[in-house]
Amino acid sequence: VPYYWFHAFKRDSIPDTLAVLRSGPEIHPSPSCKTRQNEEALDIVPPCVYAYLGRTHEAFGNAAISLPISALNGKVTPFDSGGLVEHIQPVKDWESSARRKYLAEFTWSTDDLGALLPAYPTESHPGRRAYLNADRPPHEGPHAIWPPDDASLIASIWSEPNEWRSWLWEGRSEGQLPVGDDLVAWSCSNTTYGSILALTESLTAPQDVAWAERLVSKYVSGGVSALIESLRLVQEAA
Amino acid sequence: MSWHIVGIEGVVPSDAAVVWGVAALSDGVRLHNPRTQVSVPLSELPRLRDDQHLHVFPTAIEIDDDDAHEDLVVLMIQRGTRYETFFLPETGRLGGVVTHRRRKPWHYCVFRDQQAFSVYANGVASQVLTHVLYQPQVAEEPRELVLTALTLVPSHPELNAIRAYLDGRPHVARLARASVRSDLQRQAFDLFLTALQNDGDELQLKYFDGAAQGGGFDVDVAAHTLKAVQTASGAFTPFLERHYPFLEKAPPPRLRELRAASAEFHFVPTVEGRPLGERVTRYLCLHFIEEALRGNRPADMPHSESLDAAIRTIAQPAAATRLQQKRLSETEREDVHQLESSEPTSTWSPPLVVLGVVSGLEDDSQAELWIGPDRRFFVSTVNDGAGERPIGADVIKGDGSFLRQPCVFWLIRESKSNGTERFHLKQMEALNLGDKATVTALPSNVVDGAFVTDRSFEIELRPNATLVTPLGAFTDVTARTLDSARRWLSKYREACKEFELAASTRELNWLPPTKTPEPSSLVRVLLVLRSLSGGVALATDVVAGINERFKLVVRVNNTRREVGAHPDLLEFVGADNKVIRLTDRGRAFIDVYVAAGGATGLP
Repeated sequence: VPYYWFHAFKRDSIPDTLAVLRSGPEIHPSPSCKTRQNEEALDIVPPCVYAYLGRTHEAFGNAAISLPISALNGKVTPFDSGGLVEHIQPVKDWESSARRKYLAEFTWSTDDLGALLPAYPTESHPGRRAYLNADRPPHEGPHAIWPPDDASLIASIWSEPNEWRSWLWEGRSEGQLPVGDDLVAWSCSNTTYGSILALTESLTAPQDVAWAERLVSKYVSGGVSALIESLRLVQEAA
Repeated sequence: MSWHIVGIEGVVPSDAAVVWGVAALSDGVRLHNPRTQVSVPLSELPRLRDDQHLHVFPTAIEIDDDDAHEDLVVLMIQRGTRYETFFLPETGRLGGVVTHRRRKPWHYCVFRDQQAFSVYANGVASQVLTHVLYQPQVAEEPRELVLTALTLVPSHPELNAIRAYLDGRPHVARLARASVRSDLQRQAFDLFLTALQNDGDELQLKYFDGAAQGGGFDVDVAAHTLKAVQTASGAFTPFLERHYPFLEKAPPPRLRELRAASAEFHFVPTVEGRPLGERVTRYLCLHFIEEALRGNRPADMPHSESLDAAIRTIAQPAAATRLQQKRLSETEREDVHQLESSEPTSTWSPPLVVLGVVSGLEDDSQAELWIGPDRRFFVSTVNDGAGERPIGADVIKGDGSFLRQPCVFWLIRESKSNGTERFHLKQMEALNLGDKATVTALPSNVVDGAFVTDRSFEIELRPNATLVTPLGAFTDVTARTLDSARRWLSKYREACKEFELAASTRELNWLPPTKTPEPSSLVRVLLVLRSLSGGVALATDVVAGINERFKLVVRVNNTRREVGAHPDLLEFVGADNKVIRLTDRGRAFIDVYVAAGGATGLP
């Protein structure tokens, strides 16, 4: 499958940043953070780590990793679930129970991605390219591809005024998104990279050095946007 | 619409010396990412800042509307830091700078795109390397400088090699090597690190039989051999200057030991009291000589008959004489086999998309292309070098109406090891009124046979028969007469030359000529002046430099004549005409000449 998961992150210290790069991001520890609040509103249990297919969820970022599609085991939806609470019209204005129902209707297991992606964004090159360019899909919403039995769940969330995050595949991994040897590439701001370079030089245990070698060999210079853009071309050409 | 850069992607620590990243652009309504082309409402800016996805500037930087659609990269240099001078871009000389601002505590510089930033970053890497290689003593201080420079160009082979060398720990060398990307870059890293680390190595040449029969070596043969070593070393100088712009002039090979009775020559990179950079340069010269003795040559080095002859002489200075060499970093000697004259091998250039005209036909299968007043050659119109008919070449037949019509040609240059070349036409597009096209290469107007490459110029043939290019507009290009073609091609050539000289050598890439032309008398003066401090010297010193460097006997009057003939490039200082100086244009000219692969010493 020619797509990668992307997860953007920011940690306050370089050791914490390296921990994410080595083991993978864990859920945000604060129960009051916006992600936890949205999960509560949408009945997403237990808390998850989020990744997005093809690009990051934010327009900018300080650091990000990309992983193969097989690296995430959990649930997927063809939109940003947090947007159902925050900005995706018309669902954001629905009753809480209706929003939860909407999310459940368009949530699948990652095992189903092999069948879901040929439907959206399709296996065609133009379809893939349009998705990777964050272009608006030709359908009004996911209901046009996967019709719900309940007509009240029809919502044109891929139409105006909603924007690209409303049609970005989201993956949810319970507790942690493991990285291990799956890291495809990563990037961060140049100042963070400079600190990482200095810190990796202090690693001396053979397994740590071997890991750091693999890590620096997968660094994409230029920051998160450069990572997205370089892998956009790879994904499009795949 | 008014466009502003409101921030930069990622975080900006207050103690950072250098920060760079994608610009965050605002049109007053939305926040745009010029790299990924996505945008979000501007109202999200505070959240993105608070979540540390981007850094917001205290005062936005206004940019022209035209620049707002570029892939803008922001560079921030903290003022007053220890290394500020290394990282401050020369905004006056550097191309691709959209705007720059000084606002305490930062100096901001906005580059048009990643390519423009890369030119700057590689220039910084060269400055840092020169500093470390030629400072009196290697101290602890440069490690921090090197690490900071690596945040601009993380995979730079030589910068990573110097990082490994300065640290000295094996695991840091592994990390530095892992930062380098392609196999070619890893080879460059390995070679440079070896050159840095090995100060006790020797290249040993030991002869047997023939001239060495019975012990000892005839003096004339020895002198002939040493001369060949010097010639070979000189032949690699332009290659070294091009690939290692941070190295100073290559010194001649240092003969440490001559064992006459054993017919052995020992050459060393290390000379007591000389800077690290000189050792590295000597090492690289000796390395390329020993590799040439094994039949290996850098792939992008132009063919040189004199190098071939020198290598053949070193390998066999007299009949029936055999050579063994102990290479640098090796312990055992190996046989050197006489290099046989063989069928010339070919190397192919990347595609060169150039502007020109078809100026003649030999028959329907051979067209003469004219891509500049002095650049004409024939190409096949039925075979693109791979057995296929060039795309678009079917217009070259019949009534000749295509002659001298502005065209864009996709060419591959085949360079043979014997110094000959031929061009293969892959595709051509005759430009009609209203047509637009892209040109990626310009014939160099400083070094014959070289091309400026890796650029992208959008051109348009307007309905009024004016060819509009980023280098200038050329009128009446569709008359198709000989005079008309000569006129606009000459003007185009002049515009190309101005572009070539105006741009910093860091901004441009050149495909070197297949065969390096010998330096003209003007170029010899410029080269020697360039190597002298500040580009200014007594005419007598210039003459001495020319005579030493090129083994010539020229006189002061010859040199003064060049000043009179080229007042745009050279000038006298003072009324007595004793001191000569490079003009700014002269300096630009000779910098381009070296970067484009012109000969800088004896062939």
